[in-house]
Amino acid sequence: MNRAGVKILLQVLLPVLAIVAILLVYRSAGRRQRNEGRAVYEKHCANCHGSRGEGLRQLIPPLNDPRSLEFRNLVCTIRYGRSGPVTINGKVYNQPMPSNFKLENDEITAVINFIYNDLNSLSKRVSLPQVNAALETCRK
Amino acid sequence: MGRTELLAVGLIAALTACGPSAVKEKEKAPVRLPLLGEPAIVSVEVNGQYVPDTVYPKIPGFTFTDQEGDTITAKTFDNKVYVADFFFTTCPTICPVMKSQLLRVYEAFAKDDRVLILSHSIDPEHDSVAVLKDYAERLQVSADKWHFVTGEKDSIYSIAEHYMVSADEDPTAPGGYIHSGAFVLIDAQKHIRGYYDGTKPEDVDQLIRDIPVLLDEQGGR
Repeated sequence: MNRAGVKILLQVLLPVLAIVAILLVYRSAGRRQRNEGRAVYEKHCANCHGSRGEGLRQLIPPLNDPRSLEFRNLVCTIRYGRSGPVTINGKVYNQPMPSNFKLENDEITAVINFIYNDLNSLSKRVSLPQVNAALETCRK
Repeated sequence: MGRTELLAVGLIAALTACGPSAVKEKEKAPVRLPLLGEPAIVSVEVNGQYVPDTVYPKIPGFTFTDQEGDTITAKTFDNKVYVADFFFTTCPTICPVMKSQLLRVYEAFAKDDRVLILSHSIDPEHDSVAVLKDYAERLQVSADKWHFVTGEKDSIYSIAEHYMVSADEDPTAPGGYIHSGAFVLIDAQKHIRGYYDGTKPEDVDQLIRDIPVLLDEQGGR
C-alpha cells in the first residue's frame, strides 16, 4: 500500500469504522434494554394488563391512556401501586394495583421504555437518572 | 366389548397407523375423556350376587351463594358440563389471566346452555355478593352461565379438596392466599374429567376442544 492509501485509510476509513462500531454497540444496548423491558413486563404486568397492554374488559385498565402514561405517574404507580377508583379513557376502574418494591430502578426504566415504545409506539425514551429522580418525588 | 369401544379401538389403531400428524390429530380430539381421581372398589348387587365395581370420586353436594344472591347447589349443575376454578377478586397474580382465559371458554359456549362456569372465591370475608356482582359485571358476563360464588369459608376450602386443587390462606403470598390456577372439567354425573392450567392459552385451547367430547358423550346416553 502506498502512502496516499495509508493516509486515506487513517483519515476516512477509521473514523467511519469507529462511528459504525459505536452505533452497533448503542443499538445492541438498546435491544438488550428492550428485551429486559419485555421480560419485566411479562413477569410483573402482563397477567393483569394483558400481553399487549389491552387490559381486561372493565376490570383492569389498558395501558394506553395519556394521563396514566405520564412519566411521573407511571414511575410512582409501578413502584408504590395504587388503590381506589381511577378513570381511564373515560371509564372508572376500581381494582387495586400492588406495589413492586422488588423491582430495581433499572428494571422500572426498561419496562417504562417497553410500555412507551413497544406497547404504544410513542418513540419516547427515559433514562435511569430520570427514573431515579422521579422516584424521589413520589408520594409514599 | 360394545360397539362404541370397538369403534374407538379401531379409530385409535387407524390414527396411530397414519404417523405423527394423525397422532397429533388424536390428541386434539380424544375419543373419550378419562375419569380422574382415585377410584374405590365397591361391592354392588347384580341379580342377587355381589360383584366388585370401580367407582370414581364425584363432587359431593354443596350450597353457595352467587353474584345475584341466588343459592347455588350441586343441583344447579345437574345434566350440565361445567368448569370450576378458585380465585379471589383482589388477587394480584394469576387470577386476571385465569379470568381472561375463562372468558374464552365462556365465549366459545355462550349459546350452549349445557355448559356452565363456577368460580369459587376463597376470600369470603372480602368477596361479598356485592363485590362478586361488581366483578362479574366488569367482566361483562351473564349470571345464568357463569356463577361467581361465596360461602362458608370451611365449605369453600373443603370443596376445593374434592376438586383436588389447592386453596389456602398464606400471609406471605401476594394478596394473602395461594391457590391453584387449574380449571377443572366436571361432567353431568359430577365426575372429574380434566385439569387444565388456566394461565396457559394452549391448555385452555385443549379444554375448549374437550368440552364438546363430553357433550357428545352425555348426548349419547
